[in-house]
Amino acid sequence: MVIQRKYLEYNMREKIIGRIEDFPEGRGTEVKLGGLKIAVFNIDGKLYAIHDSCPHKHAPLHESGSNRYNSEKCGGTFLGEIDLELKMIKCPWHGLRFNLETGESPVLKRKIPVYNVVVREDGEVAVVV
Amino acid sequence: MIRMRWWGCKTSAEMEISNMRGWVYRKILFIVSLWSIMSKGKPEKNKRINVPDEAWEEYIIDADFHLNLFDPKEYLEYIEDPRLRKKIEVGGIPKGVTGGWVFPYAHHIADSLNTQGTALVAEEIDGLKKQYAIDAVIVGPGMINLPTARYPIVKNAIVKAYNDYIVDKVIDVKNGIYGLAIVPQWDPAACVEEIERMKGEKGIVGVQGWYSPQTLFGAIEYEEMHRELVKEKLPLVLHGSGFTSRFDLLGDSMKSVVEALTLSWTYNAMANVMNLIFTGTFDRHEDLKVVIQEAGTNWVPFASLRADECYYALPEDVMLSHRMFEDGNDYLKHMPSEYFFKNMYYTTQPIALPKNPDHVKSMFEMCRASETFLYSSDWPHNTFDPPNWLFNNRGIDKETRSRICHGNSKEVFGI
Repeated sequence: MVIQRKYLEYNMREKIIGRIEDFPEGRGTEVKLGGLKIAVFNIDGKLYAIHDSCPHKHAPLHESGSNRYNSEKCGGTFLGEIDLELKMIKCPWHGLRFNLETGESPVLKRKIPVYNVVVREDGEVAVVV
Repeated sequence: MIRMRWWGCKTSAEMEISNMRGWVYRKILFIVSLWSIMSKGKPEKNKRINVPDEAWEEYIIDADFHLNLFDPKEYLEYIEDPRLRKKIEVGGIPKGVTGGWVFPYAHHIADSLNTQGTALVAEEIDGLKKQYAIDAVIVGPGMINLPTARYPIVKNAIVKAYNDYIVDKVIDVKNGIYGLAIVPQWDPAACVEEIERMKGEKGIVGVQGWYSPQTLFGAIEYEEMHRELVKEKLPLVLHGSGFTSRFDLLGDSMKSVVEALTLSWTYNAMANVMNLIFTGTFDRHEDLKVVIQEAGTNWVPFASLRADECYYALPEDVMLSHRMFEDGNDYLKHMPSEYFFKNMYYTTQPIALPKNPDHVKSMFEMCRASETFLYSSDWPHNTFDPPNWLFNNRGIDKETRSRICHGNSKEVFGI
């Protein structure tokens, strides 16, 4: 048990994922940390990190809010949707919604993981995993 | 007894095993921690979509890909008759009677039929399919409400124009873009004419109709069309259409899209399959192949078993169908379930997989998926199914996956 606790303390640490300019405002960015997939959203300058796979059909959530294919020919522009006010994203494939702060979906009975994001003074961005 | 000793006092041999386990455990933790530290990464420039790597190694044919050709201006140049051209230019495609197809309410978006984007010509399709690990597409029209619309002469002109448009601007065999020629199913004689007109066109790999709450495809009116399809070795590909319309009392009583989307197309597809079988269509046209698009798959075991069960109970009933009566056949040549797997194919979208992979395996065995399923995405609609589910489920073995990805499509479409 002692070893396990030490392992957890050791492993729950900040992992650098880039610099603040790597995460453009108003959209999601894909981050891969080993086997971990994280979608980082920049909403009004604040970064949110959420598991980058929708539990429905494993869609990449970081695509929420990005352009549709050939969007200039479509009636609308975006895949999924980012609700800046409610801090909600909508899955780009079938539209399930998730809260970026809690990982909760109004539909599902469970949350998907979210991660704390730390922006250091020198502009480096880290997530706590 | 052993368990009691384990939790109570250990023997020296057990202590040794316990220490050994601890040592192995610590080593594993060390390796995992090291890997974790070394793997701190930076944002990757992705290849757009998280389809698994194995998918890029598999040849994948998408058997239900849509053009969404809603604006008739795109194909107006193919309509010769000035009277019809003017009508279509001003009035557009005659509106189908959908009676409740209100996705903006169901999906909180104004435009549900283009949720993934749009692609109208070969270059656009080619650029897109690479993003989803798709190698080839069978392009179908997005005009799903045409069968329920009025103005058959206008609709016939649209059918011809669409078919000419895809031959001209969409089909590109070298880049894996194939097409289905629409047939005007509201006019069986015109269906035959259209097949004859399109049969020699390179890249036309099937004929597109729609299963809807209207005339079923086992109807004797389609006899010549079936004959022509067999002669030209073209499959009849049926897509959903016109549900909750004025033709469907059951559908008409549904109050929301979610109700209709769940089953409406499936039961209309099932009705067509049963009709084709019990009217003796496949007894007269043994080589006729029918592809059912977008009706899901899990109903196949139930429907095939139920068909057999009813046939056991009422076998003489089939002799009163038009073909059977004409041919003097009292009974079907095979049990009804056999036609489900001999003459029919089913595109996979909307796939509704059980959670347990063992159940998936059983379901696929019952559907004979390795012989009958064709992968499909339904791009660009809100019901889009990219091929990732084929690669992350241990209930689907490699051979079955290959058959679903391309083997069965190559067989039925002659690619």
